[in-house]
Amino acid sequence: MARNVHKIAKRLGATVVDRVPDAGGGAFGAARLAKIFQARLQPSQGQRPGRPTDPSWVLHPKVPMSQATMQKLTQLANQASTADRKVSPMQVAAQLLEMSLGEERQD
Amino acid sequence: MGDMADRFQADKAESTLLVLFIPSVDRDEQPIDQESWVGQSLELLGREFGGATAFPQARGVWRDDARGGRLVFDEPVIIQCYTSEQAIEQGADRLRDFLVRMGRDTNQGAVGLVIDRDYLEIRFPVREVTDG
Repeated sequence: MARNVHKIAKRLGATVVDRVPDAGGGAFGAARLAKIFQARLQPSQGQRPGRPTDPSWVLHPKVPMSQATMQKLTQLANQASTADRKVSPMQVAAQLLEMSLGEERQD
Repeated sequence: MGDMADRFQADKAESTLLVLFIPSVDRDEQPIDQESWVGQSLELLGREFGGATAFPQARGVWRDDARGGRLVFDEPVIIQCYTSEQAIEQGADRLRDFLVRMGRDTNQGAVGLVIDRDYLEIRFPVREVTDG
């Protein structure tokens, strides 16, 4: 992220709308993240499949967070959802955690 | 970044990505002279930041919240420019003037840009329709 983005935004008369999720950066990052969700998340099996999820997510720990973070996650989830595939805010959170820790491991 | 530039024997290593979206339609989905605005954008980015690359038309959609969430579909040209934060700060006034002029002259609801991982918008009010 640019260190002085808020200063630059003020100079441009612009509003910082959101952070592009960590999916490679640049204009294509957001689209890439949406594609990641749509490609990776699969509907659960059974009579009444629920929201699509990553089959490797077998743990369900409770993660505390602020209202602001929850709002951002909800926004991202809405952006990543399609008519056929709904993505939940906590699926976004899980994906972001997986991606950032995956990057950490590569460093 | 410096190490990588050394390894490739590169003379230039800019680390901030600036992305502009050049719309194809106005907020009423009427076509605009996109080609002219792409040319002007490249000229500005070349002059201010040393270069830029325009990618062929993509397909996009933008939600016009000022008009009840109406969706505006267009085919923007995406322009990427590798530069530095310092250069963006130095050229901010000219970049802003250009983006505001483009937004106003082509009747956009907003002009979007990306700086590294942040998406920014310059928003424009809905124009009043006057009779006569």
